[in-house]
Amino acid sequence: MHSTLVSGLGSARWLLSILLLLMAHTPSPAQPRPAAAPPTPPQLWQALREHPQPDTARVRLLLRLEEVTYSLLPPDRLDSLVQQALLLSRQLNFPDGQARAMLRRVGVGFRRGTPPDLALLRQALPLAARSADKRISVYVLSALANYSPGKEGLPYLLRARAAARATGKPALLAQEYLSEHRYFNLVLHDNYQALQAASRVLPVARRAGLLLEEVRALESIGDVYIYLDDYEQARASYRQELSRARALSDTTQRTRWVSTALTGLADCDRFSGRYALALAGYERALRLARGTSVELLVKVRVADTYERQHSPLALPYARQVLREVNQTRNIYRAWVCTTLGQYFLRTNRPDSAVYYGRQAVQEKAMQEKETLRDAVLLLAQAYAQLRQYGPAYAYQRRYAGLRDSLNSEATTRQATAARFADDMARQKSRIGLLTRNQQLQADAARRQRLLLFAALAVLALLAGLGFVLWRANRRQQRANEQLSQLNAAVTAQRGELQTQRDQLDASLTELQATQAQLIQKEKMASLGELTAGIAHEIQNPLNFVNNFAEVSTELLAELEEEQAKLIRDADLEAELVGDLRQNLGKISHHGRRAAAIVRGMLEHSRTSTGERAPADVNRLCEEYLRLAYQGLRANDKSFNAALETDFALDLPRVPVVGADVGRVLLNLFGNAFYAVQKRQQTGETGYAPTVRVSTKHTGHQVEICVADNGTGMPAEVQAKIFQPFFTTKPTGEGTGLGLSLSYDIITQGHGGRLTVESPAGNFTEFLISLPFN
Amino acid sequence: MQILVVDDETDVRDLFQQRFRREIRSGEWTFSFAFSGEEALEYLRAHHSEVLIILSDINMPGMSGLDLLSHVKEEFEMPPTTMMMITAYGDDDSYRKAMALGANDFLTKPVDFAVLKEKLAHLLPS
Repeated sequence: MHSTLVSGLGSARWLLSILLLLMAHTPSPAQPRPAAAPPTPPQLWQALREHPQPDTARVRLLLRLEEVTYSLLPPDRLDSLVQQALLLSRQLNFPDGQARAMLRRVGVGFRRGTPPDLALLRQALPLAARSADKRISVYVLSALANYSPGKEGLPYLLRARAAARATGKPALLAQEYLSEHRYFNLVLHDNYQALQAASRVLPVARRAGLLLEEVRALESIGDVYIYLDDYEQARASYRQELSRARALSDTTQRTRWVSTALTGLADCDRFSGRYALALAGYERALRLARGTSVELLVKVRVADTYERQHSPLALPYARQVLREVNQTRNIYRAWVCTTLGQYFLRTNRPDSAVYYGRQAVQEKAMQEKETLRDAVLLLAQAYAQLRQYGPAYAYQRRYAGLRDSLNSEATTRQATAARFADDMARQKSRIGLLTRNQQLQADAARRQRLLLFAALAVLALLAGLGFVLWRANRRQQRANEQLSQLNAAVTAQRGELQTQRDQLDASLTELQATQAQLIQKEKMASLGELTAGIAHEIQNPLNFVNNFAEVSTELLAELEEEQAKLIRDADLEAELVGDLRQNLGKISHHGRRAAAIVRGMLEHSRTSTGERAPADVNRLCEEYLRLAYQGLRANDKSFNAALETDFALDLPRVPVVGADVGRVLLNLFGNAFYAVQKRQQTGETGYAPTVRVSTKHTGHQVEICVADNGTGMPAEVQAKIFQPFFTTKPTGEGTGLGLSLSYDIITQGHGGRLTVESPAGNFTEFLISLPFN
Repeated sequence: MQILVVDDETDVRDLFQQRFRREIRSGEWTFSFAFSGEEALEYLRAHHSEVLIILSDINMPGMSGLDLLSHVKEEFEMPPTTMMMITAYGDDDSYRKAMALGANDFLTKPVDFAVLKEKLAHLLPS
């Protein structure tokens, strides 16, 4: 309910202020207003009678008279004054007067409670543009912005702002911002923007010493805070307003704004439920405002406070206020009627409540949804008391609609307040910072100026002396300078070259060390893979050695047993001896097999001596195939693959570094097993992982082909596969050096070739060609 | 009484023939040999009813001992074949897999022939 009274208040105050604004600036710039008190209405009537000539002076007089009597005369009389001024200006082709008169007509419309005549304002626009007083344009644009429906006002608003800025008059700009505030507050109901606009007035007004604008902005800020239910902020603003208003030199203005500020402070009390304090505040305001336009504004509030208090004074006071409202203007009529209606409803006189409620609802000047909402609620309740449920229901529905639309506005209020407080704090700190900076800069500038003067004086003294010396020394210096520059350049260059060489040396050494480390690392990595395979490989021959030795002991015992018999079985003896011989052969065979494996392991880990020796390539392939297979199986026991060998029987022995070629083979087999394992893991049905190694003898070459039916590899991988550190294995699984080292071993170490083919993408074939001649 | 030994090491044949020469000589037990899982299956298809015990290495190239085990259990339900698995890896994983697939016993290399002989004697009615 309280917001009702707030918004009514905001609108009314603004209306007063824009009318006063027009009044304050109507005098032509050619006739500066005397510093003395403005002429009174009787003086103006007198002047008008004494000046019947149809000229621009009469136009000004007519308008001036209308302005000062605006709140005193009935609208028709005001209109007649304005119409005379308008007709006369037209005859005189006096655009300034025409535009002003049109603006005033809109003001008269307010007194009548009719909607603003937008067409008239648009007519005034080109006329105002022709006026020498650029302020008229700003006023017309501001009025258009404020009275056009909703967002249609925005373009006018922007034009008004641009026009105000263009004049470079702070007063005009401040007024423009105030009008923006009004637009955002009353037309768009955007409290955030409204606060922004009002706050923008303050620095402009303070800088230019525009006390009145500052006071008005503070008043507007307080009003918005009241609307946002933030009475603390509102009070702070009204307090400031009060202290600034007291400094106003014009008595009328001072009275007006001091009483307005007091009213604002009392409003804070009223909404906080402190009715006694509020009434005391209104009383103070009334003492000042008696006989001014503020008087009624305060009285309406006092009536509302009494009604809220349920005071017996409520009825007589509200009736008195209503009479006064009816006598002068109707702007507060809806409000007072609602207050009265509320009183009658409370005191169980629904008939009277309905009467005043209807008066309020039908009031033409009622602009505020809040007042309307409260009046409609009043009617619904009053009809309900009267048991007239038809209209009660209708009003109740209308009330619900109004309430909902206002509630949705209310929900944004708190957020708006928080946002604005935040913005303000940030701006304040920014301004503080800027001010400090400015002071510091000013101080620094002062110091610099002093220093500069001192330095200049000293310089002037020295210059004379210096000039003489300088001339004498110039030649000598120049020669010296050139020499030393040359020297310095040479020294610097030498130093730089030295540093560069040192750096290169250091990085080369480092690179070599790293390379050696990497190669060793790759070797150890493949050795690790091998170890498990080797352990398994050695176990089998050792088992055979042990088993055949044991069984041979048994056979010997049997032989001795047989020999001790009287009738000896020669065949059995021969068979036992044969077995024994065969076993000894097997023992030595498996012993050698184990030894070869150990030797291979040693060879592999030993740093290559680089000496080539003729080797059986088939044996090498077979050996490393098994090692690689077992090595992988040691890690993954579920892994299985068919190993196919196709060896050429006519292979010559090829001079190779066995350990190095072994390492290459191990790497190729390792990759092949990895590829088939990966494909097997995809769960492809009917897939038989196969690794195949074949040898071939062609001309002066021996070829070893290692093939697998694994995942294969795309062309882009094939292209990079021999590059160092390239790997497709997950991080940590491969060094990326295996194939690169293999490539070096075959091509550089043996003068051969290592190539890869993976045509269809589902098998891979590595081909090693080794020359043997 | 037929025992099929499956191992990719060919010398296993000589070893078994000598280790069990008395049993072979007396005609008590008969040994046949296969050197891969595939070969073993082939042999079984030809001589199914004769073989009572299969002794297989697990770790063989191509068809592994475990593959063979599952094939045998699928293909030759009757009469039930006893399968003993031998592996160089004395690991739990292989043991669990073999047992899950229906192996009757599990041995670790190096094979203790005295123990093996006892087990066979226990399994086979003489």
